[in-house]
Amino acid sequence: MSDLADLPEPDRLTGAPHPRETARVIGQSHAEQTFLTAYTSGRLHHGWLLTGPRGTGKATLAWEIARFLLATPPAEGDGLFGAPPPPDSLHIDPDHPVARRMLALSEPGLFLLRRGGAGSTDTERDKALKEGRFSDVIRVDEIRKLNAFFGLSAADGGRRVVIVDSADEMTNQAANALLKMLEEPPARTTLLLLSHQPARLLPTIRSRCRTLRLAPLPPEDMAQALTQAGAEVAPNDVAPLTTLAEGSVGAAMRLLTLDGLALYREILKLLSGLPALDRAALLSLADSCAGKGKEARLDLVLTLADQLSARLARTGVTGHPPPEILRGEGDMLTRLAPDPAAGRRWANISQEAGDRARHARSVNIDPAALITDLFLHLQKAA
Amino acid sequence: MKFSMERAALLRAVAQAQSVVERRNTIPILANVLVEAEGESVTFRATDLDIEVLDRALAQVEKAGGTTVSAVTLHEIVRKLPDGALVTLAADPGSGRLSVSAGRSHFSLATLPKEDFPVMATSEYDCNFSAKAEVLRRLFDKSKFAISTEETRYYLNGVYMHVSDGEDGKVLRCVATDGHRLARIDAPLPQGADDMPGVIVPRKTVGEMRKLLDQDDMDIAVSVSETKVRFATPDITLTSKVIDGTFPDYTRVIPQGNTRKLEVDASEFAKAVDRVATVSSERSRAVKLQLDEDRLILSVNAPDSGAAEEELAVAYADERLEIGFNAKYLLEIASQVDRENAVFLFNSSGDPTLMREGDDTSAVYVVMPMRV
Repeated sequence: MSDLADLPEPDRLTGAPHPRETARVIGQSHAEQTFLTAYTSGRLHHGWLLTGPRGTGKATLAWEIARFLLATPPAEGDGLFGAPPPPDSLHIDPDHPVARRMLALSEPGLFLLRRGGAGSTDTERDKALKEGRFSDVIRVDEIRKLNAFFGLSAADGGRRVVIVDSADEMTNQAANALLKMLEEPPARTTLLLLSHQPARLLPTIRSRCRTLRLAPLPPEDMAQALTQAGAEVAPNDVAPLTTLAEGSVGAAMRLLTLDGLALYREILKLLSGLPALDRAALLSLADSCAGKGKEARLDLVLTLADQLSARLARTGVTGHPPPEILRGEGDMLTRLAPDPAAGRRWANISQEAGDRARHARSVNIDPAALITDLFLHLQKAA
Repeated sequence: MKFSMERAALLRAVAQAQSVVERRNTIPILANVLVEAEGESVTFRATDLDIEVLDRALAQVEKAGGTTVSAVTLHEIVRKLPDGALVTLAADPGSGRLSVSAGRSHFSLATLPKEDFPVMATSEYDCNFSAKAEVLRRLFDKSKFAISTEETRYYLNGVYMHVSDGEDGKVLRCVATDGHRLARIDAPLPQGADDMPGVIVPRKTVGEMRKLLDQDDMDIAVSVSETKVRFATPDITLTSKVIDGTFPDYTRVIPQGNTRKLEVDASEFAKAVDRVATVSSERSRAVKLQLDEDRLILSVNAPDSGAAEEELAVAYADERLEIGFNAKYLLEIASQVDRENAVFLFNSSGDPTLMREGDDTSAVYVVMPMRV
């Protein structure tokens, strides 16, 4: 084990670089500015809750903030020539020693709180961690490690930063254990909590943090972010991709690796014939999601179908279609959901289909059957 | 970087350094040892982010420089090389590998850039002094058994080293406690240690440091600041974080007015305690001490497994007393006594008991009784 890229990590998205490897967070200058203002005011709150849809750059921003805090020495009063000018950017040179160490995960001032290995004993968990099988939740044992981190003096008496990726994954027990530290952290400590669904966190955790909201990215920023993440995308695809990914770089990366746009086109084509359904096309779509290693594709089809029925519902209720993802989509949406009643019907269908899919996944139903069932269900609504 | 050194010296240096590497660690760079060659010496540095060990050894340096390589692998290789071999280590910047060769054996090891390796800053210590290895060894060896393992009171997970007032002026004092027993060991204050801030040295550091203290006459350079502590011999430097907490006011729990004095041969006493405790399989095995004039009866009564009793001739001149203790605590305390008889001072069966060696007050132990 000599290369960090081979190291299984619970907070890494398949096909995308780890947030710590991303030099800059894109399209979140508002959040960056808010943090910087708090920093320069000299009264930095110790607990920050970074919220926003999955994949909008919460982790990247957290790593950027952590780099900034650890690499910027605390100001020591006014010197002979007055105080040094306050920093105007969170950016730290990637060759800075702190940045280097953070990339290698060897920065003593940083504690990364994330999911551990799966299993019921310590030995099992250690083994699972090395093999990349992770627990679904952040257990209280992980929080106890943080206790040990806080129990010792800070390296070189400097700052300490804790990144919790993500706070949603903490069990109740873990969240309560963290609460103590969130209330009274040691001096010069900042905790950065990442949350996709802040409403589901314990209210006690929420109330002790200052919230930093990250907005979905507009298409221009999306293009830049995708390029930075090493993805190649045709200029014409950026706008539809952004809409389909709902402004999340993470989702866009997933769409790109699984060729999501083409898949969406396929689903659209399948549904455009409604109330008639092209059974042959449906079967071939269903088959393409079955089998080993196709789980990601299956998930994506379910998400896309769900998104499409949500768009249908919206068209019906508001009376006009949302911005088109693919050409001709608007006509189809209006045709299938001409009035608010149809919109409500689609909304119900969308929810039912979602429930059925979740249930089917939990009891491990054959993916092909699941897809077929989903589309037959949609057909009923039309 | 390129240098050569004798296998035994290399093995010693690498072994010292790699012992600090955390076995369960998953971060690649922390499994590595930082090798740096400069002038006529080579340093080997390893860390678990809390403790850093730096080993210095003389070598024939051909080219200065540094790299990091897996500590365990390097240690294994050097260990398996024949004794007396001359080992050459050379970093190849082109391939990013470190070549290790000795005689006809050649190894090529993967490396990681040395910039990724976290090095503990060596600056700003509030206090530097020098002490004999023998003195430090006594301070820590006699106190470490009482270190707590309970995580909620994390400030008890170490030995509190500080300057205090002893009977004959200032002393360097080490205290450890887990809330059931306490050890307080004093040593004459070394020159220059007057202003030392009190620090709690973590348990792992105490264990690692012990390896530096084998030679009695060796002078150990000790440096202390609020956040760090360093112990150094000419060859090895051990730097550690300290526990960030306030050690409780232990003076309150050391009994002052205990008058009932029991004097007993420590090893006989320990052996007797060990024998009678055999019949009980519980985790906290209670041993009852019945004291009468010059007579001590040790007894254990475990309803499930049986009972045991043993009588010892002791020096005791006070009124009758019955008191119970955890057998393990009694054993550990009695085994600290190595020169004279153990002297126990009791008050009543519910109060903490004090133990010391003869009339020597430089090592004092306190243990809480158990209800029996």
